[in-house]
Amino acid sequence: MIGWSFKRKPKLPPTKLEILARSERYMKRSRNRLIFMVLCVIVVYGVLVGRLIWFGLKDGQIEEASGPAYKISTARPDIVDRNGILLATDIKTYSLFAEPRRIIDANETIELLATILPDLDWQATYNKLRTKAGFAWIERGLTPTQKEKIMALGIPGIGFRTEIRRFYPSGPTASHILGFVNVDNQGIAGMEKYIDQAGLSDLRAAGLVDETSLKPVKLSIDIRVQAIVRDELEQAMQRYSAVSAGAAIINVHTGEVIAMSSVPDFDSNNPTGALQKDHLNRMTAGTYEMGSTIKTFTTAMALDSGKFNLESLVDASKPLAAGRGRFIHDFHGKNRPLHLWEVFVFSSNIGSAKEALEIGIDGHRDFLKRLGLLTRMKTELPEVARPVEPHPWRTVNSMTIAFGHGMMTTPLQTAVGAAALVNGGILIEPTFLQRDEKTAMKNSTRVVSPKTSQDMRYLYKLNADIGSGRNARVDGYRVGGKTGTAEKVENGKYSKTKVFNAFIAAFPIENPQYVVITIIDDPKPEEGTHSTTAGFNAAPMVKQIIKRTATFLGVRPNFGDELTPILASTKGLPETAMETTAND
Amino acid sequence: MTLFRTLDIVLVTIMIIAAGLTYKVKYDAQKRMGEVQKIERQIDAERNMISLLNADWALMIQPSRLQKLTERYQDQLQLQIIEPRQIVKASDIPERLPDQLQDTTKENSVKDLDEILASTEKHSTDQVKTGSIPR
Repeated sequence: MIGWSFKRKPKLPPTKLEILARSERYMKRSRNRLIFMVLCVIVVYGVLVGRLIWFGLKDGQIEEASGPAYKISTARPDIVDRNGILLATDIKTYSLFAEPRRIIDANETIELLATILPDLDWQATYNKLRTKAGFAWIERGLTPTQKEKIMALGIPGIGFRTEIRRFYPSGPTASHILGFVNVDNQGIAGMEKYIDQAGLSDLRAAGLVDETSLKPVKLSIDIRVQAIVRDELEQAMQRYSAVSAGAAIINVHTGEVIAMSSVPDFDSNNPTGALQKDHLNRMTAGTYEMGSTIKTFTTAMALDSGKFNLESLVDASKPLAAGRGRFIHDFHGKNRPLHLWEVFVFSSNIGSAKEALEIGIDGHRDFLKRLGLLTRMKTELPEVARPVEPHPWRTVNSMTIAFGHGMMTTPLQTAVGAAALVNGGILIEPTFLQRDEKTAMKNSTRVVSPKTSQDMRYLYKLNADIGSGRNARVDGYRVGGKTGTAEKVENGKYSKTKVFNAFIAAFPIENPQYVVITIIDDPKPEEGTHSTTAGFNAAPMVKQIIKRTATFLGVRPNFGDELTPILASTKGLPETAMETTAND
Repeated sequence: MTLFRTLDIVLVTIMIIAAGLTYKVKYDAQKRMGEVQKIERQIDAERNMISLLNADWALMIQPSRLQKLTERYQDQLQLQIIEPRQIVKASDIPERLPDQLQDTTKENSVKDLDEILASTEKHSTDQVKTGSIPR
């Protein structure tokens, strides 16, 4: 540095004092630089040491020991029923493969393998092993025990791959509710899809899903009840040679779906059948004209409007003109003015249409909307169809919808609406997850007055005592309900022979806990009978289901109250079973 | 000078010991790590087995399977669907009348249930065998 300075200023030789001052300046500067460098080094090493200490103190799993990430990403939570019985789980299976090129003696290999896999196809395996291929599957889906045993044999040239497979112990029993997964273990139908949409896929993307951290998802389903319901449906399909059948049980106070089945169905373990159009979940993904069961809502609407009471007279003496020269008739009509309770019990089309006319188109539509029959049902299950209503509503639409034609809705939401009418008038969103009454109340709205609800319970009971619901009665369980026989549409016309039947029941009717709905598509008369109306197929189905499931549902039989009327105050109304002919 | 050499020897010894200790600690740590990994693999395998057994159990207790079994062994089991009339509350069961209980009590005209129970205790143990199966 000094030399360089001299070169720059050669003409002026510095004095001694100048040199001293300069060198002192240089010394000071270089000392500062040295201190700066030392500080830098101290800081850098300090950070490193600090980090090391921090890592040492930090507890946690040993990073080296954790497995590859792809295993974690496919983990799914178990699904259990309301009693904790396993409905869906991940199982790890092992697939045995061979590298034929590296196999020394194919015969010996097969002989050894056959000691553990007795079902092994000798010929096919031999053909695979004799080639010079690099890779060949031998057997897939082996258990850990089988894997251990094969490993112990010490055969060269074979190996295992782990595969996670979703397994549904209940097979087809609850397949429509559970849904299924694709090869990547992602839910693509039913509750499996719901679980993915409810955040699992996001967690997965963030790498937060670990097999042990996933809590089982608890459904509202009771698998015992579900199995009985499905069994009864299969029997009914056979007994009435029907195209399909379905049923659901809903807790009226919590909105929980305890069981829901639709046959024909598929096996979640082998979901190829699920794609067939025939196998759709008719309870939520199918819309139907629900027929006379809709009169439940028409009657409730009439009662809730305040314009009618149970004894109001409705003239049903003449067929009702419905425009374009068509008339609304009654099936086995009484041809006289009917009390409101008679309109319901005799299931009078004319009477129901007149009630709707009295309320008006807007009022009618608003009421059905309020009960959730015209909007897409909100629930966890993704397979939910949107109801079909006429656009715009004309008087004739209102008249036909009053008795269940001209509007299509899903059977499950019909049951949900009916539950609101019998539980005191509160509509609760249906759920497939376990829920208590308090939480249910948060998602609820009052739709009719408690008085209307009380009247509806009375009418349901009356209809089961003297009306079309007699075949649904179960000794001790006080069932009340309404039948519905709708003519099926064929080639754009209402068929005279093919029907779609439904029955909505509530029990025990004096304080309903559960609503049961059954549907049956195109039933034929049972041997020994000639009728295909709902009272002869959908109603006995309800009877069988209630009889077999009531104990599981926690409803106690009671034989004492059988004959006491629900409404002691109502005079002039029939109190007990009496000789009346009713029709559907 | 001698002082310096002693110090050197001490330092070299310490260094060698330190190196040896470090090696041992590292070796032990690796060994332990290996053990931990082995145990973790075992835990994983056990967990797999548990979930498999759970699935197996769920399959065994499937209501539809049990129903099929009862149907198949109907001859021996004689099981039937429960009737509502068969379900009663404990309080619905009437108290057994004293004279229905035992013939021996008839003569003594026992008044209440406690006395009957007390009287039965005098008899020797009954013939019904319960509990474990002899091997």
